[in-house]
Amino acid sequence: MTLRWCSLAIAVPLLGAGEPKVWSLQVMPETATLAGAGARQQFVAIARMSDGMEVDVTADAAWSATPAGAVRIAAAGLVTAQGDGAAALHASYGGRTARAALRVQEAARVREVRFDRDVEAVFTKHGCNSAACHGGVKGKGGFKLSAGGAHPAEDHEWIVQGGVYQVLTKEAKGERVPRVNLKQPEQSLLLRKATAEVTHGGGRRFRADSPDYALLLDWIRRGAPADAAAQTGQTRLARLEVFPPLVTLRAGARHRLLVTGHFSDGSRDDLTHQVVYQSNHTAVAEVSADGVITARGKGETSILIRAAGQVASAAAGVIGDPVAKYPAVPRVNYIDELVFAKLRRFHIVPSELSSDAEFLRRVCLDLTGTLPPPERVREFLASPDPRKREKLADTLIGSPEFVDFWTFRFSDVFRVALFANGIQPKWSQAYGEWIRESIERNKPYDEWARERLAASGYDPASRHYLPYDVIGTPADTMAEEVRVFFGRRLDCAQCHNHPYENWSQDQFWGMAAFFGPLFKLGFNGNEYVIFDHPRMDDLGSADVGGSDDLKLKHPRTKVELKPALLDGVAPPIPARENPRRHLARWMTAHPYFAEAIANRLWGWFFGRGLVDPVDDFRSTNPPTHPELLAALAEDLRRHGYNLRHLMRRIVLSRTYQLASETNATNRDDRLNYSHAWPRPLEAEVLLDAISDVTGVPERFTNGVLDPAKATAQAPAGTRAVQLREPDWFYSRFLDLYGRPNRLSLPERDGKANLGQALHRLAGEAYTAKAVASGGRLDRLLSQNAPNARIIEQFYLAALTRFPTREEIDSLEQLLAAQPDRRQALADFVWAVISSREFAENH
Amino acid sequence: MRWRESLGRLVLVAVAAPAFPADAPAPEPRAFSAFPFGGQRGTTVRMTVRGVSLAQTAGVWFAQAPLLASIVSIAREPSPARSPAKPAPPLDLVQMDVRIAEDAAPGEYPFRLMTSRGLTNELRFHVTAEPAAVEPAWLERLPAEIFGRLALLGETDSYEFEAQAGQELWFVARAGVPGFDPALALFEPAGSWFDAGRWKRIAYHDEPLSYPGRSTDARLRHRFARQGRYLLRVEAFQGISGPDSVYRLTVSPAEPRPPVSASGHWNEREFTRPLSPDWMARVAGRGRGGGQPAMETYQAADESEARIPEMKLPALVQGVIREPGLIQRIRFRVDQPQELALEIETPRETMPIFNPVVRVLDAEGREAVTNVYTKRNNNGLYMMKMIEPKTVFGMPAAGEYTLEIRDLTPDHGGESFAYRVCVRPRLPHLGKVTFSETHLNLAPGEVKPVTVLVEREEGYQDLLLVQAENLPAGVQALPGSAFDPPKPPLPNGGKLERYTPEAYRATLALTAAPDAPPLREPRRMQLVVRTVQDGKPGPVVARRELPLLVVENPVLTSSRETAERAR
Repeated sequence: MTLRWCSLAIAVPLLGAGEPKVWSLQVMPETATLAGAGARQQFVAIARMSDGMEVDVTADAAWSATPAGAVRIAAAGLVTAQGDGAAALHASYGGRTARAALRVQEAARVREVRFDRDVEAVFTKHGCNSAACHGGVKGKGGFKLSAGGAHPAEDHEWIVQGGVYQVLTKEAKGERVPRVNLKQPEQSLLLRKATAEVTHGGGRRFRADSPDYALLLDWIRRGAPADAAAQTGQTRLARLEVFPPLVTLRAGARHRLLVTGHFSDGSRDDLTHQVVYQSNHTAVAEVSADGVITARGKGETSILIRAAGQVASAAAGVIGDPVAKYPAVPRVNYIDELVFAKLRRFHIVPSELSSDAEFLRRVCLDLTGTLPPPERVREFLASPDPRKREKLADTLIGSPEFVDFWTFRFSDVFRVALFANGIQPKWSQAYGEWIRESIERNKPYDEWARERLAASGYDPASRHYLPYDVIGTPADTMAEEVRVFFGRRLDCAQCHNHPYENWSQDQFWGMAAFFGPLFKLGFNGNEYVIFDHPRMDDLGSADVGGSDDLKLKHPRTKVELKPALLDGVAPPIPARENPRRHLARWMTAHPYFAEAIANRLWGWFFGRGLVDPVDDFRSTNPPTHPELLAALAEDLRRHGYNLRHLMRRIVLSRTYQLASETNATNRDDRLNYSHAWPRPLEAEVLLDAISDVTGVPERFTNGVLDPAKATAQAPAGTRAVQLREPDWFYSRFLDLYGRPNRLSLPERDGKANLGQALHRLAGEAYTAKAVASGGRLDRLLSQNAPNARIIEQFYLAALTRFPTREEIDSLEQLLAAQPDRRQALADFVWAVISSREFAENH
Repeated sequence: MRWRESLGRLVLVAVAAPAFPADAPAPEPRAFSAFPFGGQRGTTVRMTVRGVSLAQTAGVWFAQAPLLASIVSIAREPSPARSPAKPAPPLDLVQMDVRIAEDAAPGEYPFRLMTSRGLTNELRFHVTAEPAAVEPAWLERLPAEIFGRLALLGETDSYEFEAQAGQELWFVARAGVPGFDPALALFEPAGSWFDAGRWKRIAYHDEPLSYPGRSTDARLRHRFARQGRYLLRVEAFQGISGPDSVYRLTVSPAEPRPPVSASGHWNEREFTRPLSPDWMARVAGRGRGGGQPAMETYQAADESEARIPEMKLPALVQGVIREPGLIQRIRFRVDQPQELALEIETPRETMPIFNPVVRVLDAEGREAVTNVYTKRNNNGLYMMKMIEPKTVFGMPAAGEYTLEIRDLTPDHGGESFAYRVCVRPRLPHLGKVTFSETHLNLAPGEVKPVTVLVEREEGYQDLLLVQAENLPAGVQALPGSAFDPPKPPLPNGGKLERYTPEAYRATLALTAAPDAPPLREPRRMQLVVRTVQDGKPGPVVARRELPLLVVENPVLTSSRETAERAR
């Protein structure tokens, strides 16, 4: 069966009076070939309406086919092959008619039931091979199927030969009892379990009179053959194609999806009725078992489609009512073009441009993690320069605070910590310095990545290969590198093929094999030199019984692994070369690399990535703005992986500079960047901000219980973002507010907790600093500053804005009513630094 | 210059020292630090030594130095700088004036305090040619010598100075005591949008390399792009500092000379010991001697070259791993099974930057021996490897072999990756000698052991002789024997014998007679180790001077102070 998709133009809302009219009608696919008896093809009829919407009218259209006899219309848009020849399919709706061309071939030929295509499809459709059932790591009830039907040959063996699956070996456990009965096919356990004729933990999956039962029975009757091609993987389902990839609906509307399977032999098949559909957010949209989406509430969700060994997704957006006069929103760069275009599609009007004060605070915190001092706030707000935002961004990007802050950010991602870097403070310091130098020199990020991936000898970056003083396992090390530089999580595939992704266990271990030869020279913890043990060289291994344990073996097959890239290519690596150098070159040239860092940067500036979490790219977690992600990645590539360039591009976009105040159309929007979203300050940034506002620097020591018994103290004036190892300098504040220990890849949790609430009431950072001698309040009081000036100074320092007249009046009244002015002002300072407005970047 | 007559001698001064509590525990006198611990020649420096059991300090003992010290005061340190984690003995501060002769040569001069409880450990006084200042805020002139101290946790010292455009300066901060690790940061007054007064860091250096045995001195070289004011900050690594964190800072246009190695003792299992053509003669001189030929020097060829040169044993091979991944080879022939020694020197860059791997391959390309020592960890049985500067092995069969030299990784190389490899017959001899003490305090009637560890290289089995010379009256060195708990053989230890020597252990019991007269000046006792050849004393292989003092008061605690600690 062959299809040819035509492109759909992006709908432009065109408003007319009254009910929208049908402007045009289209049938998709426009052409199709049906091969074999009973071959089917689902069509959809799409009406383009006068309001710019594209509406699925498949269920309401009148369908007919000419000439009669070639095909049969089984249901709305569902066509079955009848006789060989060409045919035309017609759909009529709203006074419009559209057609699709059909060709039927070998209509009399009975289609052979294929295990990989048809039997696996039944398992997938009914959830038998899902991760929660027999597709789980250990299977279920002793019966194991590969997740999503990824390994038909193995599945066939477990069904036909029986046996209980074991995770890390190919050998079956226990007595092997076949799950098919070739002499009495109806008595096959496979059928009796699925129909609940015998006890089945999964209940009844289908009835005995269903087409799926008939298909399985037919297959068993024919001797339950394993397709020769399936054994070699020649006719595997290679990918799924979904139409449309993006659906825009109004609440209550429906839209059908079409799913086409592309097989490895080049053939295609309509799988619309044979795949499993799942909505990521059912409050936004639901999807029926046969692929019809029903819009529920405003928002956006992904519809996941799973078939044998493959996953795809479609995005469904549920929009509000059309905006009567959609404003013309200025655009600064491609970011705005792509973000605002989508907003318009969704009938969401972006917020206004942020005020100067709002922008100033936001961009200072995002680029430097530092609040602007009061005099700079006054200066910026008073400046009439139309280019002052651009100039400020350039100043901040060139500031030493920028270097400190981004060293801190990347120290998180690259895990600078005492225990993560060999438990030697010299090493974590050197590794941290390497990051700092890379930021300071604005080293291209791809160069930076290659240095880390291929680090060897005593290079500072090689220290990250020594977590807890040992060489990490190849599996863990590889998974971390892929997560950091590709934004993908391959961990699941370590033990089994990834249940929802296209990562197989073989891919995982092929990649892990690049780290297999990693070795540390040295007997003592402070002298390790990192190298890749050459396979061909003994280097004394024979003295202790040989080097067999240097070989990395596949946990299931026990075959020695050779490095292979994710795409399956095993590059020829000369015996004495550092294999990670090849991996580093490949990874930094791969499209995943640019999009992963672009997404990570975006996440830092907007509080969520275009793919979120930022290091969890997967087909089931697609980007909200794929074109934007691609454009950001391309921008980064074209500019030599200059991170500062992309940061500048982002902060100068209008999208970044939108106000946090919402309007009626974007109030609930969280995913489309129609307004700024308040984000809690990171623990270190918050503590530095409190220190700056109160004018009292923090003292960092390694004294956990009693600072007086500390043996180390950071130099006076050290900021929290400048601390290298979180596991060296203790801070109750930082721990409470979510500083990660970096012993695994950090995922900062900005959620408030009870400990923070108590700390705000009793913690030294909040209570002692406000009244500390020599602090900002103390200095203002010693200068006999009036209350209004003190209030203004703290507003400027903490909130980057002047207080309103109303705020000043209220506060002055409150202060005047207190018997102790100093204490009252200290309470005021506490209130300012305890406020949400202070603790968030908005 | 009457005081010069006292140079190199004990200087006694009468100081009314506070009485030491009679019932208090009496630890061995110990000097933790001196500050400032140096000055310019021709000047007088007011120096304070901080330590324990110094209350009855009677004088300062310089060993042959152009220095004269007079004690000014002795006081108990008022209060600890911070609460000690566990009870600690009270600390004493001994203040003294040190006069430096005008013609004193710049360098380091060891000294000890002499108390009624005995000698302290050794500290060093630095004499400079340039004017030396103590923690000046502004460096008036360059080059500059500064003595400083980071007395508090997290303390930093800042020095401002003027630099010219294009000027290159070296900044070196050396710790004045073991265990203190200084770091340097260089700033320019660039300011920032947030803080106009902020100093912007333009360079940072902790130390060239953090590796066992390497100095923790911070060394920073910087070429200044423009003329202006700059700031140098001395800080302690990780903010670990305290009252004894003293340092010497040198700012100079040329790289300051690294301090001369304190020991200069024989250590043939270091990658940096010089392998010269006469190396065999030097080695043999520590054993049975005999005329050993000078070795011929060869060059190995790059792996890409078709022809592999050949050498004749014994031989010295030298070369440079000029670029990453380069492998060099040379052939040699063994006519019969033979015991050989393979030694490697890295004269320029050394471990952990240049990690030379040397392998001997047989005619089939199989590895016959390597300088990579492999053993197994006894917990997980995983392999552990280390490269060694010396490998002693037996070549089991005659034949042609190839010597292969490269860096451990294929990623590093350069002109500084130079090597010398010596392949020679085995020559039994005495190797490194280690003494357990650096000085001795003996009370009348007291016995103290001094243990000497002598490494047996390449199967040396002859008798060796350990003698104590220049003992004072009433002190004897008697043969002793200390209990040495047996060590079980290392399981999974691989071919340990190839890479590690065995050792002799000899103990002398230094015994002061009950009527041994107390000494007013330390006696320079000598411990001498000799080979014994043909029933006669052979050449001296090690000689160590140990200052010895016979004191009046019995020292109640152990006086053992290992050489390791003192270093």
